Amino acid sequence: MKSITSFFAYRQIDAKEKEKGIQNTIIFLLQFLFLYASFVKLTDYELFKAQIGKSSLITQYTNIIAWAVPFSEIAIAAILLSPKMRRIGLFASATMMFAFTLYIIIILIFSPTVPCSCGGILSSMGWTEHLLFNIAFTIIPLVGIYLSDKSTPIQYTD
Amino acid sequence: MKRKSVFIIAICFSLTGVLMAFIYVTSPLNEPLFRADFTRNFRKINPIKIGETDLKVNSFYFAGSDSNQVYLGNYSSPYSVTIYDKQLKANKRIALTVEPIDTLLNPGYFKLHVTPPFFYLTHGSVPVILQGKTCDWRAGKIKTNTTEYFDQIIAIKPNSFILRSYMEKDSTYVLAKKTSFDSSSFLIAKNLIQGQKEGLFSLDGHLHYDKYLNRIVYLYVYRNQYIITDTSLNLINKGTTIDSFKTAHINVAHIKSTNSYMLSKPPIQVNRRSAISNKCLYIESNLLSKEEDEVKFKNGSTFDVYSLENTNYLYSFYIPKYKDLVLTTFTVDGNNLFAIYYDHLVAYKINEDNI
Repeated sequence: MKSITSFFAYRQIDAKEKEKGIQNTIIFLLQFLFLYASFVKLTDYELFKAQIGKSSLITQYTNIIAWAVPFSEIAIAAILLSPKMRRIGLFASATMMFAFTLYIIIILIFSPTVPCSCGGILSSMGWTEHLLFNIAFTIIPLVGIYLSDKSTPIQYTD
Repeated sequence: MKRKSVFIIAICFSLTGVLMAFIYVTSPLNEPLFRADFTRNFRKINPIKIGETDLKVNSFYFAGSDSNQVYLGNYSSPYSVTIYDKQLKANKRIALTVEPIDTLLNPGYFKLHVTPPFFYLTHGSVPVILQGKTCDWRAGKIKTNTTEYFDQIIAIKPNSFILRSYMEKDSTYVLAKKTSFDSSSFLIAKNLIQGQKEGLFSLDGHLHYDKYLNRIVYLYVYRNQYIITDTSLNLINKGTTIDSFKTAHINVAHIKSTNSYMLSKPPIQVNRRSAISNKCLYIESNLLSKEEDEVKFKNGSTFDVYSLENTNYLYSFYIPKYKDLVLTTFTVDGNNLFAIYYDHLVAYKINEDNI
């Protein structure tokens, strides 16, 4: 009898370990994505600025976006490092990726010409692929938030 | 997920949505189309569709035409020519016989030009020019100097070409005449086409040849000018299109990392595609005129016609989009206009009649 309950106890601990593993993978993926993307933008800053300028949607805000986007990407990657601030980082990641997703959708619907202002490997994707990629990376931090909520015990007040 | 988390996400996403909506509303995408200060005369021509056909692929382009037929080249199979009759009822596809060439980069980049009874296959980055007769469709190589690269070329007659080249040391495009008779010669027409503040985008344009007047025409893309020269590139006349864009509205950035130049703001493109036939220059314009309907303009192509004899504006006509596809390219032969809409070929009659 005892062996059966301890068997199930081990299964539960395994599940928790798995969730922790997924959570860590999510954090790592997001950090990698944001650091890679900001690195590509900053290493050829002139090119990045010209690419933003060519996009009719954001050409008026070229100067603001040119520093705000890489800055935010690095900031989020840094926030994700600290275990205490991780949740905030996940919310910020989801919001940022949602913004990029909306950008693509607006361009696809309203722009007569489609510019590309991505970075590195991302610019070799077609627009549909890029849209799916962004949607996936909007959902991934949401999964991270879900897992983080699951593992924090609900606090009872007496 | 905790209710609090869902709430936070909902707020964040909503704020993002509002921000993006604001960016869109204040962007050029949401502005009405720029309206230029000139009027068009639409009363002389009423285009009538006389034929249409499904090309099945979008890799066709116009290589030439004569009184009975229109010739199409294909980017995916460069060594073939497809011939249609003027009503697009019948077609035949002929494989070209080509003399073998060694050291070939990008064999797919050969472009076909057909001016019966001759035809040419040109490749600007090798560079190599092949020419032959349309009676047997066999092409042989002509003498080419390996440094005379070109990105646009017109064949006036065998061994006589006008081409556009990019001069690396001056960072500018030039027009040049190439002949390869007994001794090959390559003459650059210095300062014929001129840039404004820079020499790459501001002088971009299309080369054309009118065989009736024996004239070469170069139409600028970003400004309201075209130049007319003889077949030795001696300037004969300059013409202006009816809009007032004298200087190119472009912003160019120099990217030091790749030593290249690119446009850094959406440009105002004045003239889109163009064609020449029978002493007239046909321009598909990108500018909305004073009393034209904006929605109608965006849903089709507006063509302005100019006389090459006196550079006067003659008239305009409008052709709506075909099956919701955008016009890729067009050519004119006498009273017929042929247009490729992505993967469909359509023929129109554009006779002058008073309506």
